[in-house]
Amino acid sequence: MLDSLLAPFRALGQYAILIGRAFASVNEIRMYWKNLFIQMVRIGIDSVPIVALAAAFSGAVLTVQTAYQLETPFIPKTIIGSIVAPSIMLELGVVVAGFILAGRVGARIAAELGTMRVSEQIDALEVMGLNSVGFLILPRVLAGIVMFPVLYVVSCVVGIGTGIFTGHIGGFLSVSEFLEGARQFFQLLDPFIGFIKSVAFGFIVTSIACYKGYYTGGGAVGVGDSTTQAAVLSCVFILVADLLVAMLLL
Amino acid sequence: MQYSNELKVGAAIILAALAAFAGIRFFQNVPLFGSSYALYAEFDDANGLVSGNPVRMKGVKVGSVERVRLDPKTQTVRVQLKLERGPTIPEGSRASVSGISALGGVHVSIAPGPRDNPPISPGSTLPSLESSSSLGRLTDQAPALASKADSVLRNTSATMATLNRLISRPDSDLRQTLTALRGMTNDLEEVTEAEKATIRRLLQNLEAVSGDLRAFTGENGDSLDVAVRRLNQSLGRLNRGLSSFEKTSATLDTITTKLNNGTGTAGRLLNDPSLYMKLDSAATRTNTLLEDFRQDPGRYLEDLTLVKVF
Amino acid sequence: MIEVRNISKSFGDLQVLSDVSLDVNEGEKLAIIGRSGSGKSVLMKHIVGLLKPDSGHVYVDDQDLCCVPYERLRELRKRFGVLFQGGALFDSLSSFENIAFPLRYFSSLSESEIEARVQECLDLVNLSDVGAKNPSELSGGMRKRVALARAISMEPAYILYDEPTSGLDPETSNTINDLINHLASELKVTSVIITHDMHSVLEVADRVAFLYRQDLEWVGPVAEIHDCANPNLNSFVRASEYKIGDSSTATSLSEPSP
Repeated sequence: MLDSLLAPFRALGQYAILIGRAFASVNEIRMYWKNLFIQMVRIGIDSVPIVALAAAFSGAVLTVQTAYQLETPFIPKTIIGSIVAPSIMLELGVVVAGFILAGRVGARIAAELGTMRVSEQIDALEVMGLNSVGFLILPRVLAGIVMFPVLYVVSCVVGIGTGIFTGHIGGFLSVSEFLEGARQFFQLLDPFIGFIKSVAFGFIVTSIACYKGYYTGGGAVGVGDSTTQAAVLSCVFILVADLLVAMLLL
Repeated sequence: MQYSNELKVGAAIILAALAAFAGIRFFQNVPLFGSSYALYAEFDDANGLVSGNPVRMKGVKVGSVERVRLDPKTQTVRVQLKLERGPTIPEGSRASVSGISALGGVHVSIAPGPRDNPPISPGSTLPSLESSSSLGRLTDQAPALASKADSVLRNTSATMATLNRLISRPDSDLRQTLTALRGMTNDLEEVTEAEKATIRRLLQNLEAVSGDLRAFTGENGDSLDVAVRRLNQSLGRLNRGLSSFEKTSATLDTITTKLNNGTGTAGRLLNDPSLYMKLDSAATRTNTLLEDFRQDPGRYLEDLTLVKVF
Repeated sequence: MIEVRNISKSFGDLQVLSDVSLDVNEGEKLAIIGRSGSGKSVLMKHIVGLLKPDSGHVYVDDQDLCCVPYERLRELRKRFGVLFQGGALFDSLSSFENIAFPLRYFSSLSESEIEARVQECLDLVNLSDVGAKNPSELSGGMRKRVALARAISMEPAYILYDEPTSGLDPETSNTINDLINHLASELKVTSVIITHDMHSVLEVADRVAFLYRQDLEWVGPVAEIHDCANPNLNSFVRASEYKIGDSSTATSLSEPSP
């Protein structure tokens, strides 16, 4: 009973120590340089299409629904732009990308490391004299921290672009009306907070997936469990971090 | 061709950074690499103005609000404006906050100063439109006014000198004209005296009407019936007032007719073609005089010891 | 010289090793035998420092694995080559890259020298032409041999074999056994073989250590294994002899259950 109550604390401690060890091996980063770039391509660049797709749809839907909700003659059409652009920069662009990547990147990392664990590849690395934590986890977490902001920019550009396009094609408001509205309420804080969130989400998704994958046990079932938990926990903590950043910085 | 991972990642990061930079500049509505300059404005009330709101001059967007700050010392709102290069804002321009913030249309509008003024220098403060006194407005116009006044005064002083000399000659036409004009003014005075009573009555009526109106608006509990009756009464009185006014204008009409027919001094003055001729010749003479003066100022100015000094 | 001194290990409530002591002498081939779940693999993981004992010490060349800092431990581990049960080849890399992997990270060899060394290792395991293939394209026996080539690429002083013949047909098992003998005589390495394949033990080992439940019950030369006084070892040996023909199927079925 007490044990199950303490389990989350134990897990948190284990997680913190693991990630701490990963960052402690940062002095060996030159050794993992090649690995870092491989992960950056896999986590970042390979995710561009799916992130762009999700951003395109969320931008379009947001514009259509905002236009629908504001269909009164008293509210200038530019307000649609004032709502859609900051929403995407502040929240939608980064959270949608975060969820997509929790599934795509988080599950991938957890499955990869989990398989390496159960097939003793991690032990093999260790026995060769490599620091498996530094070798496997640090490049993935760093790649997440560096590449998520890149994906955030992609998400924003595509999302807002699609929003403008949809508003124009759907006949809700013209491009210049959208832009005027967006510019009117633009604040540098919006993309800045989005950027902070993307860094946080990049860390959350990759580090949780690494933790779950690294401590996988029990064969194929264990890998499945780790993968599921990595995706689910990443999503949960993305929401928590989203709220925390919003409360701290807004 | 196979690109290395380093190249792909590096290119992606740089592209994203450029896109973010360009996007932010785009939404801040400043030209990508173009220049802008800052101006300041002070208001008593910001009316919900926030940074990013547009700055318009004659309804055309010329910039945006950069920062809104309440000055704790002076209790005024100090607003930093970011203006695009291009349309120049002349000195003496004034700023005001207009639009309704609830509808998102709040903006700073700039009422431009006189066109002839030099463009305002970056970093200076635009005064607020509502808080300005007429004196303040005058000082704003000053640069342009001063130059105009200067030329006018120079012309005037030259003319005055000639006029003086003309008037000092007892037999001049101008003197006779002035005498005639004095007579005409007297005639007009008489007319006004005669109609004084009518005008007073008219004004009294109007006063009563407005008094009624005030009372009417004061008693807001009155029924519509009473209101309409009172309005009728008021209109009736106004009618009477108007008929009196009609009479007055009729009298004025007869005066004008008299004037036209040449009866009375003023009429004679207006209808006498010789007067026009006289004025004309006076002007011609003035002209020759000025011409003469220009050609040989010494002849006229020889009495002035000041000239001798030179 | 590896000295295991009084180590105990338990996972939660499950005691896996209790007070086990064992010496591995320079140049010998020691087989650690025992039933599944008797703690053989756990003992091996202690020897390379992958697990820390709850109590006791493991000395490798007079250095205590339990108490050295991580960096020193990593240096010590480079004296080991380990053949894991499933081979533990990195499946994202080709066979060549797998063998070259430790060389790239821990040697100062040039690319051509690495190539030569990899080929040398592949020749040693009689697999000269599989360098370009991915581990998934190889059979189980080939995978183990590639893994063995990787284990010896850094010229270790000790080679640990974790179930080298499990899951292999008798013929391939014999190939592996021959390879173990060959490497031991060729490279003058100390070998520790963890197995429950008595056939392999008799083929390869100089000495045998028998783990039963959590205890090390018997240690002695392989010649004495048939006439020892330990009833548990006797029954283990007898069971193996009866089933020697189908030992591969017996072991492969017993493996997947955790």
